Amino acid sequence: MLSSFWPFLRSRPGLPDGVARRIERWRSLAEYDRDRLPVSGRWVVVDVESSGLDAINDRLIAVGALAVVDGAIDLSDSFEVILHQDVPSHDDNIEIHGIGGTEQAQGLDPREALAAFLAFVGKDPLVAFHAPFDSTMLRRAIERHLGVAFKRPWLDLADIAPLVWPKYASRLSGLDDWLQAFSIPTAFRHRAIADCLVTAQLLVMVLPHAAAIGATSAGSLLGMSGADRWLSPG
Amino acid sequence: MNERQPPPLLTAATADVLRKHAPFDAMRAADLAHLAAGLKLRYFAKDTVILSPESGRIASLFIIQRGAVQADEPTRVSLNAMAATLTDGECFPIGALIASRPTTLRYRALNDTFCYVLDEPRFREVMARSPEFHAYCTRRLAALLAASTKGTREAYSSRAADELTMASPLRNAIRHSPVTLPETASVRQVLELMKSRRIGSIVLTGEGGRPAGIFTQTDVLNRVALAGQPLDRPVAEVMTRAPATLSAGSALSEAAQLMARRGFRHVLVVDGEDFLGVISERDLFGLQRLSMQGLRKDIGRAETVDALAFAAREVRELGTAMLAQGVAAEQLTQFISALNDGITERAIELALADHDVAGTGFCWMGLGSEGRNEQTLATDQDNAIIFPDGEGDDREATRSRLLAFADQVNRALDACGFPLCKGNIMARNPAWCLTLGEWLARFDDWIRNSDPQALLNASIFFDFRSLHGDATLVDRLRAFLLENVKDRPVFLRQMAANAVQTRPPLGFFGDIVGGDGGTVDLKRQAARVFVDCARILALANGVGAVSTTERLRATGPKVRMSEDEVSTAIDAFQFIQMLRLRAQDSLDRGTGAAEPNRIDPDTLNGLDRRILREALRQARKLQNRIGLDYQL
Repeated sequence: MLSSFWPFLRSRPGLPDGVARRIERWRSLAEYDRDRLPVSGRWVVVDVESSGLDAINDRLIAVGALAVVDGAIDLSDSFEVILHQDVPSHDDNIEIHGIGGTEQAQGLDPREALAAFLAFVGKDPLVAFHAPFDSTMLRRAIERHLGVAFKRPWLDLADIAPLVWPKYASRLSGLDDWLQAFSIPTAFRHRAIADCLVTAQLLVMVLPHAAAIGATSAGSLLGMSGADRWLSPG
Repeated sequence: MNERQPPPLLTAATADVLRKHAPFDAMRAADLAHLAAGLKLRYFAKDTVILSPESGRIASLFIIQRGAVQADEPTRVSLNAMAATLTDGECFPIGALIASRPTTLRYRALNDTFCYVLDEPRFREVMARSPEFHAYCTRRLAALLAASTKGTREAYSSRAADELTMASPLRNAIRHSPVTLPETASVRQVLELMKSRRIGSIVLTGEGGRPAGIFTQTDVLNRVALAGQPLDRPVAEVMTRAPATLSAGSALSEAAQLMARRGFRHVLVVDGEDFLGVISERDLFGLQRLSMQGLRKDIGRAETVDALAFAAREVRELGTAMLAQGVAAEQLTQFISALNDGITERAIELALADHDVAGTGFCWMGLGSEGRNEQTLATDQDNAIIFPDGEGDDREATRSRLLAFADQVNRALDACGFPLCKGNIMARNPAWCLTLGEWLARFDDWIRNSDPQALLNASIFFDFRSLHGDATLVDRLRAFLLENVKDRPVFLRQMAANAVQTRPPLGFFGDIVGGDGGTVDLKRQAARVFVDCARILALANGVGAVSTTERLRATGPKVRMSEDEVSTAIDAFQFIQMLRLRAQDSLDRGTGAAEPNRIDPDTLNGLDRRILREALRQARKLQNRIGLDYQL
């Protein structure tokens, strides 16, 4: 009783009951075992849309997440939420992610949205291309709205893809380069969930090569990612 | 916990990808969304085996999002081994999934491939919800056949310039002087030359200017564009080395068979050390129409039985070449029948020069498979004569003149490769050289008595057609038959009982059960089922058509068979006919079994075996219908 009550106390006071319960449930989940979790376990590919490119000062507008389990992208194991904004982001920003002012105003209470995100992710490792931006954005938003320290292991494909395909590494830098090189269709990019879909396709191309670059577990693959070294909880 | 309902954008985007292909383009939006929401997306690196017989019971449908998958026979290495390449939007393995059994084929990623994977429960849900998807998945046979003949039909429309036959030497068929580059040339130089000369292939020469390899349009796609090869590399690295080569004196049919059996599209023609040029598959396809017309002319011009026999051999050779190229059975049997009709006609014309019987008003009838226009390559002759009724001695005098004439025709046809009928069902047999009145009496007797011999006769003689002479006699005979047979339920019921007696060799689980040494008798256990059932349907419904295909088409609406049912049955029958043609062809070349109509299903490639199984299922379905109609 106490053990489940204790983390609740650490959360931000005044949270709606449902949100508080979700946080509690998330905290009580067993931490994933870095060294035993196989590469074929669940990965959650994450992409965020924000009011700008400053991870510290800009606001989180939308979160998309898509799970890869056993090397397959499960379209039904996916998540997308738009966070309510009192003041919509600038027009030129809206052009990037396509989430208009009305949509932003009709978004979900950020506390509900982020609690739902925690429930979706669980304690599974996260994946992004150029992970520091997404991870910082999420960590700050979750701390601010939920009072939860969100220090999670991230796999940064910007680090891993060059290890898998070293001969491309010098020619390819951004996500777009990689997508183009592997003919990953990008018909509807820059919505969070759409970017998750293309990133997930890059991930499932990477995973079969994990053993070839010396990764025997999800943890050792994470260990090769610079993002993980900066952001890992331990 | 979570609703497992993907964001609408994700579903919509996936549906958009699928909608570019059949059958998804025809599905209702809600059904397609339901399908899309249940998909997983999987990646298969080049050369990964996606599914094989060892994968066990199939529990998912694979839809190729992008990439290429080769479906082939995992173990067998045979001349006719089939390898189908599936690309974007194509589904596999539908048959195994529907039947919940392992696949017979191996599916391998030819290059990096992404597949949507639909698990069985949702697959069944979508089948139940969407009639379009259901139709697509269950009309496998039609779809498979359409796919296999598509290429042929497209190629048929191409043209060639010269009057050549399949027996002409390759030397005569080369259309332009060879275009070559040294093998040290860059890929870019090769492509530029191909573009400027508008040619589909270039031969690369090595030491001494001898051909070292060939590079074709297909290679541009597979080995350069998709492989991401830079254009400045030497073409030697991507060309096909040691290309197929034939000498200039070889017949075109040899080139056709080499291409068909080895899967090449180009053959180099050489004369000793000299390289003369390239023959492409396209060159040969264009020839078929022309050589058919050429052959018809040859047949019509033959002045002796020897010349006619020579033309008949060419018919068989062309038939063989067309078979090797995968021409559809219906076209092929029609083509063979058309040319065989021409041969018979010419044999009759030649005999008429020696026998003064034109004034008797006789009509030469083709019977059995010839009557039905369904001749295969190894067909005995079945024929008869019908002539006007005359008085007493006069009639017998006419008959003996006709018999002498018929004997000459029968022998000529024998020389042309249509062996004399072992059952003596030939016009030279006095029993089958009858006046109209005599024929009417015969037919009447058979349908009244319906004893085993009568039923056997009916199965041959009721498939009759006029080949030469006064067709009105034949029309009157047919009118009599159709008018009277429908009042003979006992006869029809007996015929039906015969037609359902031999069951197609399918096991309880829908697998093919070979009999004698694992073989299937394609004629007795498969083709004849369709032929017999179609005959009964036609006779019972007053349909005068004679060919099995036309009989099914004409009676279908009268017996409330849907258009789909009819065309599926016809496709199934034609496929079996094609297998018979192939089996006979390999018999001719000494590579087949001793019996022309027997095949071992295990020697078929996986796709053909699947289609055969489906075709046998159609035969059984038709039998079941007849069985129900006659309460057998």
